Amino acid sequence: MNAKSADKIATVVIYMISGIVALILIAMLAFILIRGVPNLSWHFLTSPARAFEAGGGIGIQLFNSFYLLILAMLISFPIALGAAIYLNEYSKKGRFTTIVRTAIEILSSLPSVVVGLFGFLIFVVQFHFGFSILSGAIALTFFNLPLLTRSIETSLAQIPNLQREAGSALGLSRWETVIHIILPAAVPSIVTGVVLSAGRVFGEAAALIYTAGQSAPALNFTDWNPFNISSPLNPMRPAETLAVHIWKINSEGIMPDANAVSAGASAVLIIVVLLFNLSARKIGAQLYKKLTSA
Amino acid sequence: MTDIKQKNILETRDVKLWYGQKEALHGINLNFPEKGITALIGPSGSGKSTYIRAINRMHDLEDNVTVTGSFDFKGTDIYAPTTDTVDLRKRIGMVFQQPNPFPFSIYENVIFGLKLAGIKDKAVLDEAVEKSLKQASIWEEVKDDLHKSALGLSGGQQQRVSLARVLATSPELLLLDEPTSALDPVSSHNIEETLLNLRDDYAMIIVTHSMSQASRISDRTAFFLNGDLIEVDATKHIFLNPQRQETQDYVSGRFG
Repeated sequence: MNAKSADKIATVVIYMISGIVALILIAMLAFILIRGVPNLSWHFLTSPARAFEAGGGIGIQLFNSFYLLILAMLISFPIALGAAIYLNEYSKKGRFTTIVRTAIEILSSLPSVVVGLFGFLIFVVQFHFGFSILSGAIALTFFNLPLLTRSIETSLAQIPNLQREAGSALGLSRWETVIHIILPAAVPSIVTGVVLSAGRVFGEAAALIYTAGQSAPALNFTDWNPFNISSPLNPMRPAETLAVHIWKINSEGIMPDANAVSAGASAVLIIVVLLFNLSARKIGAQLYKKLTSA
Repeated sequence: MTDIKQKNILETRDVKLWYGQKEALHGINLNFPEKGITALIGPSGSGKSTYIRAINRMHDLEDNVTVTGSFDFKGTDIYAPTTDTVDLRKRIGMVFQQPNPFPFSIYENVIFGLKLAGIKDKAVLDEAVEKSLKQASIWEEVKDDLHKSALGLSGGQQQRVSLARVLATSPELLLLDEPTSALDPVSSHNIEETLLNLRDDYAMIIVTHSMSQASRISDRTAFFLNGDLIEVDATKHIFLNPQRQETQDYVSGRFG
């Protein structure tokens, strides 16, 4: 076989493989959306779930998912940012840096159900946080931290060294260079990474089953005092999220319309995750444009 | 060798530098007068960039570099433990081979150093921007686009904005590390013109691979070879009547 026909065959095979990957995604999305979207309605999105009769919604689960996401991001972002700045801007080759890097790698390869069980034993049981938003947010932080750190570190590494040299040649300290040059230049790509990881966190179930719990008590959406037990903002209440809800309906749901609720909830989950993913790059690009040309 | 009547802004004695175990500079003695342009020439790997980067302690950013010898910058010992590099680099500005504007507007780029120094008065900043951009000979080209991104400019324009950014902080000594080698001939010419306009007000040290550039713009030329300073003299002597055979070979294009 000559080089030319080998090249042709290889090209065809590679195209086919890429095509299959795209096809799998499209097939899955189509399946979930076609089954789920007909069940969506304003009522479905806003009303509480019902355990025994038909006509329940996912309102509380949807709210819980977003609330947990925001809390988890609030906790994990500063830590990830600090770690990434250390690793990319300050660290020198040495034992401490190796330990940090290895820790991040191992943390990122921990199965999320293990993270969830760890969170259960430590925060739910030992610290008496109970099944709560707080326990869930911390578990999600563990789950999210390594990936977010890695993504921010990559964003920082993309800023050319010329910028660091320019900064220090202008008399900026290393910290000033990071704060005034590297971070602003990296913001668009950092934001893209944050939004992408938000999509991942939003869909996470295993880490939450044993931490945020599997029940969604009724909430009083007129009471925004976080210290009241029925307030949506109370971080100590159990909070079943959308992803956990889907898992639970499918394993032990006894409402007559369980299939429809599960399909609808799956569709909502996938739509939100898609929105995160599709908007991530757009937001990043917009920010870059805005920041670079005042 | 140096003109005795003129005071030196920088005197370096027995400068040695190691990358790890490898000695890259073997004891350089070189002085720079208060005004005018000194060109450092020599083949790649001769140590001229290494030397110029030692002057504002850019090697501090790298691990594994050792510098010895004395650097007397107007009475300041550059490598003294008490010397603040941040303050030092404000007094010794540097322009690099690659234009490196920050990804902000032209205006933000130029006032960057001033803003960090705590200057907030808009009138003062506006004036500094105009003055620096004029000094860098780019005011006419960008005066209507001050708030557009500096990244949208051509390479040559970016380099002059980088220069303006350094000039805005009023350095006492300017280091230029091959400032035109990444630029097209027209942009290089513009930069050269700019430097010629500044030579009466600033002490400048320029590393260049272009001997014609050295002969066009510099007052003095120092020839580096393999980590040694071979010869330093008025530029016309170096090019027309060098004392050393190596210099003669290099400037006549026999190697390098």
